Amino acid sequence: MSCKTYRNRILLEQSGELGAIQRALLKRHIAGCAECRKFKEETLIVTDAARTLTADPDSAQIENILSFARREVSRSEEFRFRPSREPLLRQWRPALLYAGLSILLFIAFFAVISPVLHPSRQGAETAVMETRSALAWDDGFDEELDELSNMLATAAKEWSNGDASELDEIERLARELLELEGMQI
Amino acid sequence: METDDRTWLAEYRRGSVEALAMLVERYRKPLFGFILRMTEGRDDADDIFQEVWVRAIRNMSSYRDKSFVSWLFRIAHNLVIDRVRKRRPMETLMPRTDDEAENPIETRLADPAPGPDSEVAERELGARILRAVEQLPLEQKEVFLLRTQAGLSFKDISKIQQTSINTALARMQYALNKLRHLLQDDYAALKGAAT
Repeated sequence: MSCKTYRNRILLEQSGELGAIQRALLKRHIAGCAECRKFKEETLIVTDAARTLTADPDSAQIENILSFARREVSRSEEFRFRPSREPLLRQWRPALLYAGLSILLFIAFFAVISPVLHPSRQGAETAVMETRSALAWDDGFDEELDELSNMLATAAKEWSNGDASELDEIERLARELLELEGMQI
Repeated sequence: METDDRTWLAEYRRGSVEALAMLVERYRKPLFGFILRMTEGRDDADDIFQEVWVRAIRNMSSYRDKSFVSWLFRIAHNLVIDRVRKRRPMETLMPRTDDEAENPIETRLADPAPGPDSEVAERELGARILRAVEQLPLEQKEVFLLRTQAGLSFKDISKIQQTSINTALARMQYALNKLRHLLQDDYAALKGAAT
């Protein structure tokens, strides 16, 4: 590594921006490099002396600035409640986040609670599925049963399309079919 | 240090002008010193110093930086650059390369003549350094002053100058090498003063 790089590190060390490992490497280099050692020493001397190069503005300037600040403070009665100039989205970000979470929780709650609230619908669905499965073995054997089974399939289709007014009727039909076959659900 | 700045800023936002006075008091010397060395006379420096604080006060509610001093000097940097551009409309201060040791425009912008306050301190150590600093190109001088007077980190300096940290370090090295060369004869005195 070149001395120029190490001199950058000398500057970073003086500004407190150098990590511990790099400080140790720099120390090792400086121990063996007279030029970098001289650079560090002279840099410290110059920068320390330069800290005294401050200058003082007129006290009238300071008073002008503070008068301006007083005017700014008193200009608005609502100084303490001055609205933030942050972008609107950033201001509303927490509110939007909580609203989104609330909606998700609401949907999740109803997905869980819905079957509990509508047991008849679930019962009818189960009845149709089990009945059709039970009757599958004698498909085409008994015309009456086949007709009832077709009625059941039609009713179930209507129900799945959104017409839920005859759920009880579907369940009753399914039970009737199974009774004809000597089965129960 | 920075914690106190934040406390005073918070108090000022609640309406306390005294808190702002504390901030002005803390930074008036390094800030004015920086502006004075970067401009061409006390009148310019007075105007810019006042304008820095006016802008800071106006924008205090939107201030979100971690470092107040860095923000303050960034305002000063922008105003100094604006002032120099108005005076020299055909010349640019934007960085071109890292190797800018020879930059005739910026060398001309920097006033090599000692300022009025250096006459008073002619025999003082600081005055010799001051004259050497005044001979630096503007961007190198700015890095040097931001580092030594404002105490800013190279990370903050690179943000203010809108350049890389390596460029800021290179400018500091160039500045120090020139100062070391210009102050060659004074090192004995400087070393004596330092010890």
